[in-house]
Amino acid sequence: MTRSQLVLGPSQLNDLRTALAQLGQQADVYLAMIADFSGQDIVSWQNRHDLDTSSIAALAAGDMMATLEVGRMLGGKRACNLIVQEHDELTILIARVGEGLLLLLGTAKDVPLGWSRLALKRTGDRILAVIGSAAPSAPPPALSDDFASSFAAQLDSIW
Amino acid sequence: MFINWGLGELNLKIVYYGPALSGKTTNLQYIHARTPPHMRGRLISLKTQQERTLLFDFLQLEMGKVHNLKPKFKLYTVPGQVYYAASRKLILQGTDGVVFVVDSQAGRLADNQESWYTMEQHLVELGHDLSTFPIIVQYNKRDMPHVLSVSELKRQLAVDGRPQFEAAAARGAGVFDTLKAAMNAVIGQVKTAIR
Ligand SMILES: Nc1nc2c(ncn2[C@@H]2O[C@H](COP(=O)(O)OP(=O)(O)OP(=O)(O)O)[C@@H](O)[C@H]2O)c(=O)[nH]1
Ligand SMILES: [Mg+2]
Repeated sequence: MTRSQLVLGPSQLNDLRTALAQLGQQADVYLAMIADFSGQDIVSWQNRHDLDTSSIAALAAGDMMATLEVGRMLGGKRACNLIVQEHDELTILIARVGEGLLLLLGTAKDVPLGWSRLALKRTGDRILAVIGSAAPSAPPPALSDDFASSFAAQLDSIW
Repeated sequence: MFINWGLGELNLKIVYYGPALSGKTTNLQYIHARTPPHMRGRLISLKTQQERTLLFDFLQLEMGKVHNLKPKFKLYTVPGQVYYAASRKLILQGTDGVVFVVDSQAGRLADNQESWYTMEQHLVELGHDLSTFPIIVQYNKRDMPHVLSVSELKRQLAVDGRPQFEAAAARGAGVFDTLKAAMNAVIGQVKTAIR
């Protein structure tokens, strides 16, 4: 399996959700989201319910990868990986977590950057602990042999 | 690939790759236009003022549940212009399959070959085994004058054994045949990946 394949069980998902929710409740947070470098949205917490997290994850991953690449081309060693956007009404931070994940935090303007950076660091460590923990507790149901054929039949019925 | 057993979701990524102006973005635009709204997200295009892809296009498709699992596909295009090479490799990261969009016009043969070669290089660098990695070939712009024959393109690109489709993406011909083949190939690979 290549490095980018991630499998999460229900309890890990729950732990990640809890970590994001706690982050979200400590300050005026709009969105806290974990995504990976391939652009997959893994889990998110938001206090609005209309955010297109799939698209945000794809864009944030592109943003982070492009930023890292600029750093690399200038001779950076990929150590500090934080992107900050300061808007009139909100602040957005995107931090790299471990090798292939990122954590996005959108807060109200008055949340201090120092608090957000520390919160990202702490939550990032928690995320790594959860992802690095034991395999999913519930064994994944195997894809049965006719999964592929049922899937193909669905495609033919759509297009 | 991201498998979320907590929600029963299978998240898969397919990248449309190929030389500049071969019709990658056009494929995604057609897919977006002809897919029921409840199954698709927004088409996001990071493009230049001249409508050329700058970083990527992105479109998510959410399929119905199959055996209690919901497959979600994230479709991306890469920018084909030569000087965006760095971006292309970034977008390929974590992809589960590739659609290679060939520009069938005779004058574009060298560009197709160059693009195919660098794609293979990137995939190998990313740790993929080319003999098993799903790559679907689309011979696009079949409606244009001065196109090479499919057998000639096949020979010149050495794409033996890969699923191949002729297309005229601007009017939609071949777009969904290509997409379905890519989705099925990727699903086939998931089975072996998770055992
Ligand atoms: N005649 C014809 N024109 C096509 C076809 N597919 C795409 N085009 C046209 O070719 C031009 C380029 O198409 P795009 O989809 O933007 O190409 P691309 O591969 O995304 O290009 P880059 O983003 O620069 O890499 C557009 O004007 C399309 O309308 C086709 O099958 N036939
Ligand atoms: Mg394009």
